[in-house]
Amino acid sequence: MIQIENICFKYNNDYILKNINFSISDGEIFGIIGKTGSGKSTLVNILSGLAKPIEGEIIVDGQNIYNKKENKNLLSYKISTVFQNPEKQLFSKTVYDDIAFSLRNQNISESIINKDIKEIAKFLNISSDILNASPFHLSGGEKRKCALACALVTKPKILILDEPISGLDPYTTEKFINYIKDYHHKEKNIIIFVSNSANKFSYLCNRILTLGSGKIKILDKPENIFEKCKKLGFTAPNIWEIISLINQNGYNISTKISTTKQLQEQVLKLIKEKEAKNKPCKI
Amino acid sequence: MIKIENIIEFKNVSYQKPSSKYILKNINLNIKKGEFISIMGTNGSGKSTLAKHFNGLFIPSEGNVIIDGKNTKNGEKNTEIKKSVGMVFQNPDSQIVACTVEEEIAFGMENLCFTREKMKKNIRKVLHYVNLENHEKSSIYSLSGGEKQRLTIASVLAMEPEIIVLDEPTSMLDDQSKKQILDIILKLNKEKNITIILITHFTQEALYADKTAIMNNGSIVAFDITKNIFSNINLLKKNKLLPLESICLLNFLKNKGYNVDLNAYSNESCAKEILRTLENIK
Repeated sequence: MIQIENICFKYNNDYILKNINFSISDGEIFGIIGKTGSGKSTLVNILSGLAKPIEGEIIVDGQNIYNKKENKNLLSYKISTVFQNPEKQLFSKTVYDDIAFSLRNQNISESIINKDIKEIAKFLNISSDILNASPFHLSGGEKRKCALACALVTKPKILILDEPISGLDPYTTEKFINYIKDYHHKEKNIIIFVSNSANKFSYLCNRILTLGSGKIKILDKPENIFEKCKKLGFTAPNIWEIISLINQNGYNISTKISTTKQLQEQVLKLIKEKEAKNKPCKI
Repeated sequence: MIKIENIIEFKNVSYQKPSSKYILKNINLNIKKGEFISIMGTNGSGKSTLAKHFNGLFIPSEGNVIIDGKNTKNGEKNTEIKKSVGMVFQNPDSQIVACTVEEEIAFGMENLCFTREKMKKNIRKVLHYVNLENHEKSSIYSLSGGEKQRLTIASVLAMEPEIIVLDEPTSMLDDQSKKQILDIILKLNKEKNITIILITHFTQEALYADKTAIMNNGSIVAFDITKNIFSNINLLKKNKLLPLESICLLNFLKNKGYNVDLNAYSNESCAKEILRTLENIK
């Protein structure tokens, strides 16, 4: 469990975060959404142990992470973060070495490391050519995939994804979302997903917190957040918007639908039901 | 009859890094002045490498890139090509070099030897164009992500380019900033007749363009009117691009025998089509 209690953070004389309070339960997928400059990345840095708040406490599994150095070190094995700019995260000679870095730090044997890397590379569609290439010779999207591989290969207890799908093509995004879904189902870990929009990832979240000017605006279920998207200055996911526009005319399609296939089935069902209802009865 | 010349010509362009495989393979592309082109493809399909060929940042290993009649292989024409083709990259932080907004915009113009008066005039003009008036003296560190990306567009625009190449300019921005950037790009194309090359992952953004090219594994596999590209669901799926949910839904209903308009791309028009279909059930 993570408890964030009364967190404040200042840069020069300006508050970037002010009186932030919330908690995340074990096994929860938790979304943080805010526009650029809302304080999201600062919050990510605080949760990752990279920036100390001027006030407040962060308690992970009962331990204040900024109290003792040992607590912070312990935390580094529990938390993996994928930052927004993958180029700032990759540093080794080859992609393989980058992915292996944190595993080698934990003294895991090379044969297990090799097996884990192959597994994650297969899933994220990272070819052996890319594994052997320098991370600095990759395209932006490929770098992001490698940063994701680095974080996921450690199977962390708390996984923080800061704008994980920006720069990824839609195909890889879908694959990534499905992977996170499966991964979470298996590991039951905490996943904190940070984004500047209510995209497809939002459907996975149990709860979403919206940040604005360093303060919590709303903390609620995804479907309730989507409803308030326009007011908050975000765009709701396309599927939710189409359903909402239809439902505004007296229909009742489930707003929990998140895939195109489900949308197609539900709309067809609605049409068929109306056709059946309007069919003249045989006397 | 007026003959419309191509402002950009890619003739059998291939590109490979030393001791590496081909990243671009036999690209042929003709773009006319004032056209708005989007280029789509998965990560690693070669989009950004192609983008860097438009202003001579990369020189083809084989074939030729001709910009407004000038071959990018001709080193003497390098400055002229760089002046006529502006580049905007994904991450504004990797493009901004100066400390203040004014200095950032002046940087490119100084390199092109613009006079002081012209620089002052252009700074005012472009800041107005991207809605950053009164920010001349602002530190670039005080700007948000969206403001920084508008600044990079302003810096490029100040150099009076004929072509602007934007490589995923909105992928790091929030929804509001995305819309602002796209509106500015469309305005540049419609009002100033600047040729736009927009590289994007997002179908909603590509729909702004007149024509769309699809890249896969270093080749252009399709280049057509944007609406033709996006109504071809099989083409998109084959190249691992996700079609819009609205288009998928309407195609699905059409295949089930319902009379729906397949050009209802936006969420609003798609919902209207569904409601119309429901109302027509007698």
